[in-house]
Amino acid sequence: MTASALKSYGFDVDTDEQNQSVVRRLAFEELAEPSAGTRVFSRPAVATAVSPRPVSTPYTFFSDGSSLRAPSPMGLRAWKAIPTSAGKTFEWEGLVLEIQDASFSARLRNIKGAKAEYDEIAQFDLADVPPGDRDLLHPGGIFRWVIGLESRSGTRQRYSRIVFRRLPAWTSRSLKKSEKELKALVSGIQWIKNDATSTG
Amino acid sequence: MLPEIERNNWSIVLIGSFNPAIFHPSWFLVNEVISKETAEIAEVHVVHSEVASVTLGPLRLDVQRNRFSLQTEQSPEISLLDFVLRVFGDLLPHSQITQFGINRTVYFRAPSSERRTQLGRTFAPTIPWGAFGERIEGSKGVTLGGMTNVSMREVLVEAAWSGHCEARLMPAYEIDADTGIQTHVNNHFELKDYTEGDGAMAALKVLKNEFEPRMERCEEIILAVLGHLE
Repeated sequence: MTASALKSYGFDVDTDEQNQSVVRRLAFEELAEPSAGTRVFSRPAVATAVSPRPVSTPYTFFSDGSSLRAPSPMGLRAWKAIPTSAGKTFEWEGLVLEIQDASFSARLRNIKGAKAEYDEIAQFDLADVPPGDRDLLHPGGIFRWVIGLESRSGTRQRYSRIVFRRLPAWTSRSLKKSEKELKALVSGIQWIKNDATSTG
Repeated sequence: MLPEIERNNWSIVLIGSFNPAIFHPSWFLVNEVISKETAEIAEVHVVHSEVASVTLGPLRLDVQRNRFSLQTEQSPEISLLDFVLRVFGDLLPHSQITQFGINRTVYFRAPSSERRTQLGRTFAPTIPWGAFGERIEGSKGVTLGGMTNVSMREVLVEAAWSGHCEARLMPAYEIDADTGIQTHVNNHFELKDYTEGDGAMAALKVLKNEFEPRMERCEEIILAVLGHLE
């Protein structure tokens, strides 16, 4: 993702002492002049999908590939009112490094959109984290940072969203189990002594 | 320039044996699958012993006795995987899951009605259809005919599962009657040698390993289709 494109979403890229890219949030005053038809946020717009009335998507797809047109009581208008990601999306996986008073730092790995093949360090405001995910914010916490366009009822707006991953406990259990099995395997190896006097 | 994708839909569909009655937002909240804020805005359309349909923030859940479907129209789609792994890996590991699908649907527009018709002719030529094809080729205006639905399937076989990747292309009247196009990709997985005692873990292991690669494959297929409209 180019620096100018990042800027239009409210972020900028600096270089720190270790020559690593550091993504920082721009103050509102620094934001680029928005082009016609776009909205620029000084803090990320955390979009929540709130459907005013029950809706059904037009199609239901079965895992075997067949599909069924589900009944759609509220019709096309309701379907179009569901917020949907549109256009190009940029996504990073973040690993929380440090938490300060009003911000936290994270190491970012590109998932999609950006061309960088190296990790980047970024600073985020604590306010960028949805209240419901604050309990997941700790060093080592993993999140996805997504920026892009969202379409809803024909209107478009840019968004920046942080979503912490609620990972299953069984993956950490299975990691510990694998570690235990590996240790048992290694400890079970009978090492043959290297006899320096052997000529065979 | 490639046409812009106007709508996205990602979904995971599980086939097996489920109890729809338990899938209420309060159950997800108590088990920390969703946050308190998500539970507060959740919508319960129906929760019954035969069917459950709830909206949990950006996620839409529809469950029947033999089918569990979770979909979203908002990135990050990895939320689907985390949700399923959490529910069936931590909370309901004894659920029977014998098959599953990783799906993506996108909607976009052709630059013009003519370009959409041309796309249809590319994927479904009229020449092989003889006189019928000739009539379609010559049709125009209100009698304009052509491709309504075309599917292609890649068969997949691995040691632990078999399945396929099926891509489907069709007009999308919901987007625009003359230029709207929908592309849907279904990655279907069927476990081999599944027995009742296997629970959910066999499927979850495959799902966890295959989710992101399959989503990349969906992207590759969609870009190939979009490329014809550049």
